[in-house]
Amino acid sequence: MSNKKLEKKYKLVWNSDLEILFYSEKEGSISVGGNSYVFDADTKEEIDAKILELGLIVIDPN
Amino acid sequence: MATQQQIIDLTYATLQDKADIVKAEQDGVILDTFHYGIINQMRLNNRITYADIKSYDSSLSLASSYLPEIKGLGKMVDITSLTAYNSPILERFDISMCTKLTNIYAQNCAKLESIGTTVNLVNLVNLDLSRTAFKDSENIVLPVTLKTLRMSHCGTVTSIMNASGRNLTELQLQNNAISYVGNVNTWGEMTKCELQNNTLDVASVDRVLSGLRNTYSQNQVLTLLNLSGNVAPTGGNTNADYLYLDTQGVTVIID
Repeated sequence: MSNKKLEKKYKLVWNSDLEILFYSEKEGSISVGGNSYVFDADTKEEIDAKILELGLIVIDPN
Repeated sequence: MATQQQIIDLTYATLQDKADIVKAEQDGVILDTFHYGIINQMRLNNRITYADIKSYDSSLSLASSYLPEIKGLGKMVDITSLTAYNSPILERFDISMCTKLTNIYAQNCAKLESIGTTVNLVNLVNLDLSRTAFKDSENIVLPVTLKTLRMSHCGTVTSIMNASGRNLTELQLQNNAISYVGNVNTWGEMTKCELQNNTLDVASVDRVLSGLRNTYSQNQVLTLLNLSGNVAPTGGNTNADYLYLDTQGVTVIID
């Protein structure tokens, strides 16, 4: 079980293929379960840095 | 404007580009039913007849066009695919008569509000209306053949007529105003289900979780379920269905 709680404003979820599954700029917490990877931050710059650091991929603009 | 009878068996020798077609329309030779973009795409060139148009059975590609309306689809009943994405001023088209359609790709059309009804589109497999101004969801009756439905970021979509989604593999309805989701137990082939940022009540959130838990237990194809931006399920992140999917490795996102 890998239930993870993200509470900072900027939230990022991705899978083992480095594909971004979800990105949110909404306030409030979310819970993320399953075999995914998560990162949350207080600024968008930190999110962008993480995306660059890992080479995360946007798979769908929708 | 010419009558339908005038269009039948019409031969127009130089009907090859916009100017020719506009001229033909001005002459009253062609119904203004058909936009020149459609005529060009059909590449029928020197012979445009009602029969030619009706039997056009290929893909109609009008992506990135500047058409306010795609006129004449009611007479192009044999087209199998319609592509009209990235068309910034497109407001409407009507595919109600095009029962052979398998694909409709009309995403990123900021002014698109209506496409007619899908109730008779018994061959439809892929429908994408994401990032449009779509308001006519009561006419989107999902055929059982449908595999992918993308209507995210439309803002005003409130419901989807989903009698059976047994072939649905991908559902993207995020960022709308959907308050109710039903028939989840038919979603046996679902791999990605995105319902985040809607107005689902707790009963619907619970229903989606329990329904997809049931289908997952049968075929293990679900990889992503996103319900964040609605309300938390009963029990929050201790909800039994959420925990079951979590332990199975399914990425589930809830409030």
